[in-house]
Amino acid sequence: MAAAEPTIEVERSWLSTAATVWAWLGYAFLILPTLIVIPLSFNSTTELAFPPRSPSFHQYRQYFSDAGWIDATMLSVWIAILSAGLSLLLGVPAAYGLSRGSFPGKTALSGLLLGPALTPVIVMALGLYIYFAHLGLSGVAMPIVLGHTLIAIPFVIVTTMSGMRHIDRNLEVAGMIMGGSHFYVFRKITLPLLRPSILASGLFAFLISFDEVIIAFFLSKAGNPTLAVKIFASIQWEISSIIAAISTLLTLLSLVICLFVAALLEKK
Amino acid sequence: MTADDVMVRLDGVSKSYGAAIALTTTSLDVRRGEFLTLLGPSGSGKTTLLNLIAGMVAPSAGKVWIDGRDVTTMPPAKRNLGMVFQNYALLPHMTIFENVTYPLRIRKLGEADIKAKVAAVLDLVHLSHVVDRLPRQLSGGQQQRVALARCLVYDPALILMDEPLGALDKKLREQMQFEIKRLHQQLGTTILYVTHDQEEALSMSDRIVLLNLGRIVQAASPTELYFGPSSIFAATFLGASNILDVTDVAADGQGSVGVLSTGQRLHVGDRLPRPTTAKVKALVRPESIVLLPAGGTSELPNQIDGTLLLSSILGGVIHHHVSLADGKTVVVQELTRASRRLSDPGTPVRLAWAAEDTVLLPDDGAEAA
Repeated sequence: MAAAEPTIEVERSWLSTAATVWAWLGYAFLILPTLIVIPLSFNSTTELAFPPRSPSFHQYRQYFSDAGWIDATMLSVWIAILSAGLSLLLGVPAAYGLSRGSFPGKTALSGLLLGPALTPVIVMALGLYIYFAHLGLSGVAMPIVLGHTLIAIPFVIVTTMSGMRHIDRNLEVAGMIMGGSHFYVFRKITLPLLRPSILASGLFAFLISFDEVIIAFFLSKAGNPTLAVKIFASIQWEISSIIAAISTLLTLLSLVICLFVAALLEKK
Repeated sequence: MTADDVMVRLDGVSKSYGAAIALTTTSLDVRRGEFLTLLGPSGSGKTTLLNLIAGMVAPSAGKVWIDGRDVTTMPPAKRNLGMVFQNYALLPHMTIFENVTYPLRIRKLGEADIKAKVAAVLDLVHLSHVVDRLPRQLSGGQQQRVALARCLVYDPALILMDEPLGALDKKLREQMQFEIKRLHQQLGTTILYVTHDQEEALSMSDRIVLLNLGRIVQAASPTELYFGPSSIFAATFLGASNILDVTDVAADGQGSVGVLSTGQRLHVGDRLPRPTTAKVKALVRPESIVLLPAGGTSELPNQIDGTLLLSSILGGVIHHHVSLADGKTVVVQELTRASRRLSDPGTPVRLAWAAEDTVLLPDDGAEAA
């Protein structure tokens, strides 16, 4: 028995090492295009040379001094904030109801609410375009905010419901038996305990909206593109290294938000 | 019992989930100031009964009265109850002080009043020094005392306790049993206690309601329940028991007499009425039996010979397992002494016990618990 043990140990560690190496290779292959953009962004000229011949912050200065790029960025930020807020406002109560309530059609309703996550975005974008045109819904940001809210809600619901599962039902029962109304218990017990999940899903929703191209492309007004749409449009005409600078900044933003979300969900 | 003495009245309540019956039609009165325990194995309906009183589930039929009010359709928040849970249910994001003030804030008490009440109740459970800590920084026993304090602080008419000591180790459990009992005597609160631990029920309760398979089996004081069980289930669920087969039971002077499966006569005292069923069994508690050497004599009317199978010392007591002529095993309990020499297995012995220590039980064909 004692002699057999090391053999098992060796075999297992060989297999797990191989699996780990394989996983990292796959990961590197996927992340390489993202990483390669970072050195490209330090080119001083408009061409995309790798490695940059004379590294500089020229492209970053270009981005921050171009009113067109800044307007597009600000529009995206506003749309992302509004979509995140709206999807929280709709998604969190929905998640609470789906976790704690028991009513006929609950399964069907949760399927319906999570549906947008499974629908091809191009189909949804086209649908929204036709729908909003019929309604006569105008404005630069509002149609995109509504579209982004639609695709962010499933993520908010799933994240919040997973947070609800970690809240001991007895805490809410105790709160009610001590005299608290449903609303008082939700405000004083459920909501504070749910705060990390809500914050995490809000950040997710922000990121989903900020990165989204297809719906924004269909619904944005001419001359008022979101950042993602402007990147997409400009890449069709020229390969500008200013895009490398913007992509680097976006990668950084995503990374920061994802790390923050991971930390939030870890703490629970 | 006048209406004023009743804290909880269950009037023909029942609960079923579809075809599954959680509680058959049940009526029960809990007296004001009483420590009443709902005891039973899992699935016996004790938690259903508690939830009906708490208002967490609505009865399928019948009415629930608390403190003179019909609360059958009243939400839990309006029933003025306290509840202590097995996992304490302290609010993890609040300090001990905030946890205990939670029910007071709902009742909109003034700040000075709140401070005074919290200080008094934390003093009562000896936890004044932990007010600023979070629940997870306390031990299990301390957390359960905070949960008790949080109940006592708003002086509810009735406190429900759902296996409150189930998560604690044995030593701490005994300490907390004493603590809860002390608080009950000091404050005179009505307590409805749920447990599956028969020792806990026996040591703490004024009255035990024994449940099995969704119905009340027997409701009596711990002494009555232990010495006068009315069914084989009650006899075997509370305490250790020897159940003997007995036939031809008939009246004999003050008591009864019957024939054991080994052929000996069984004398039963007149302490309890004789069961009216056709078939009966006899209960003798292990501590009621005296172990004599083979051929030994005794004044006791019930005597039966057997062979010693095994003797084991369990600290304060010795358990002797004795095999009877018909192959049945009887357990005899004896207090230990340092000088006591245990006999070898296989030694012939004689068992003896008093008529009044024999209880006849209706043989309902049910398996012993």
